[in-house]
Amino acid sequence: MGKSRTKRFKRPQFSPTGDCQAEAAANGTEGEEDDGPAAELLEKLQHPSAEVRECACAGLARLVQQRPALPGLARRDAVRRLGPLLLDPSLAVRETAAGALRNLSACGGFEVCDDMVTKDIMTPLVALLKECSAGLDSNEMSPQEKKDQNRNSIENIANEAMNECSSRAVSIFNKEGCLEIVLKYLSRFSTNVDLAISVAYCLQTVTEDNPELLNSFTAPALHVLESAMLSPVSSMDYILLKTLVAGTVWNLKDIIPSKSQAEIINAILKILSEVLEVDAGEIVIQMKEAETQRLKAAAETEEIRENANGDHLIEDDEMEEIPHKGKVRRKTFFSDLLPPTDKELREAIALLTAQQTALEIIVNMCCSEDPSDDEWEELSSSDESDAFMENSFSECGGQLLSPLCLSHEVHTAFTNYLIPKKIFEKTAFPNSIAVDLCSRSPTWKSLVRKMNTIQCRALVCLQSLVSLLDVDHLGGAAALQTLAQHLSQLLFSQPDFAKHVDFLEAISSALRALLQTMASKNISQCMTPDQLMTLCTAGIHSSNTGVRVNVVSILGITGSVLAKEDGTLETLKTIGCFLLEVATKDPSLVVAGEALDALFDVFADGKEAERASVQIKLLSALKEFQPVFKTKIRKEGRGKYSPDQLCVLDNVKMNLRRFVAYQETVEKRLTT
Amino acid sequence: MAFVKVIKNKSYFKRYQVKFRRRQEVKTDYYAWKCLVIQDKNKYNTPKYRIFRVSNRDIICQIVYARMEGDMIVCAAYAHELPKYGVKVGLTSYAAQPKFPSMGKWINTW
Repeated sequence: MGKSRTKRFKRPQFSPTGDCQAEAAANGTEGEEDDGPAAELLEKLQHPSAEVRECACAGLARLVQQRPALPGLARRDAVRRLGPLLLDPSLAVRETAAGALRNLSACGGFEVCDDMVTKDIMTPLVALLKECSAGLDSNEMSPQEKKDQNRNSIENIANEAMNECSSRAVSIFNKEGCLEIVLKYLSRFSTNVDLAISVAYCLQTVTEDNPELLNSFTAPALHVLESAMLSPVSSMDYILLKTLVAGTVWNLKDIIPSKSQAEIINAILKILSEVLEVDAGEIVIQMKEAETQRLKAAAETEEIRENANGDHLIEDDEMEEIPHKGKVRRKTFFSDLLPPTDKELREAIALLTAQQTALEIIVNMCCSEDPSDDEWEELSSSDESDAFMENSFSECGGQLLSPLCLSHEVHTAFTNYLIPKKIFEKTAFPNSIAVDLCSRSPTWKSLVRKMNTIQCRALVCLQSLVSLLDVDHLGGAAALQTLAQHLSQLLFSQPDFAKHVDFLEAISSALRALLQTMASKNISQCMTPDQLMTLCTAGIHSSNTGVRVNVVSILGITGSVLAKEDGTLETLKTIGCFLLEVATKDPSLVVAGEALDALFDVFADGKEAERASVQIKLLSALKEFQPVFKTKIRKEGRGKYSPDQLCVLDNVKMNLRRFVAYQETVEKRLTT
Repeated sequence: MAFVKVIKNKSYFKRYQVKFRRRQEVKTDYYAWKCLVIQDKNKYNTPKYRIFRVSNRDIICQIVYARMEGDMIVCAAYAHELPKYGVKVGLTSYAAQPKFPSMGKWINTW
């Protein structure tokens, strides 16, 4: 088989009459031309030669990474043609087909994954898993071959479970008893950590919100997870494995006996703490250096060998001598679909992934799982029912007490393992030397994004901890002020902070939570009015709803603090006008609701606030907006917003009505 | 006298909570597709079956599940339909409420 250049997608054909292409499309013939190599590759999947089938799969594995190819492949039923190859007589074909399907599920997104499950990809996948599992017991196949195809098939299942078709894929996973099979692979972690990691990804995914599967976890199954969690760390791969298994066990906490919960939570947080302890920047630098040394040594050895033999390097891989043919050709054709083989790069990626996962698990641990939905009530057009609901949550001294808190076990573990401090350290910008080294190498470049993502996750983590831990456990007032300075510095050291949306969302949420906590404890914060206005002006134009919600909330917190002080009239008027503008003009009801809520906080009390509210004509603006807000909720509410968001909007609507009544009495008092 | 907000439900306090999900149950417009390992951030609870009640002159009972494209109503019943079946008074009484003991709690509006 000759080397084939990957064909680019052809441009639309020029037609002198202008319509030939459209007619061809209508006749169903034009599509054949525009799909490029797809048709040819799919045809070759049925070729009698295993090598041809393998190469076709490899070609498809590359092709599916190009988005424009996906509709054509779907139209040609690529999944139904690739699926059976998972059970091909040739192991190489199985492996490459699994790789192609893995790429398809990873790169295709929701629609593609949904299509894959609809086209029954789960049947051959599950069959392959069961066959390999049986072979694992009887040691029929060679270990390496089995490892590779098992890994691909499990990664397929993991990817599909991760995407939108999850409920169906997960349901099949549950029914077909895949849990037992994948746990068998996990138990071999000491000899095949790659496979164990793939299994751990899969388990962390399928155990999420899956009570049906939880019932299948027997004591032996839990023991497998426990032994993986307690495995010694001999490489970064094991760190990643332990983190993923810890995440899985967190998902299973409901089936863990109460008497063991504290111990398990402690074990989980010990792992997460150890992961976060590692300085990722230093490891990246060390690994890059190690790779450089290795490549240098390999090049020197090769040069010596060539000089000794007097041979020339063969440039065209097709002409490689037969004993090396398969291996070398595999390296050039298939290297892009296989996971990185360079040991150092893999170690670095494993560590960064582990740290990101650890931070996400901690964020999830801070989520309250109380069902708030049952308390939601839809109100009809009459607001009379508000009256008897007004005392649902108690207040204390004008401040609302949040009912959210951490469980005692989690709280204790966070404190014992110094989690807040470790998360604080991870909020700093990535090591600049590491970033620079990675940016210069095509294969290491993706690590820069991973390092930035870790920073964002740490900021979100910080937001959760600051909201839930009390001030003493966070280090006291001085620690909070240091933290506020640190966040300000992070934000304003980048002139183009508004462009990095993920970063802006994460840091604005951390700032919001911190300023809220400081305001509630009367701790003075360090952001200057100019910095505040810079953040809010930039943030309010962000396309990200979360950013807009956060800046509006920050403004509300700042305004409510200033309202208690003297000489703040003009600032309060500026804040009031800004919030009013957002409330009435923002396209998102969530943001508008947050702006209204912020207005209630700013103008709730204080002489300066009262004067400011009258001068900006707050009452008339809110009265005019009130029916508009109500209508918007009724018309857009169900279509665009979740039930929880509707609950919040309902609260805002009620408080708007009450605030208007309050403001009327204020204006009456001030004008008489 | 200061203005004091009133809060009717926990959703208000949970509105800033973030949960990272590996499975995306519902397609949203907010999240870009990412290659390989997808870490999804989901600020919203997963959809659940629930019964909605309106505590007012009328009672509306629906079995609903939420989807991003809109709530899907499995079935609905209205108290104002009761006159058709001969019940002309007490349309918001406890007796007028349908009884689904396994489906969640009801608030007595009587």
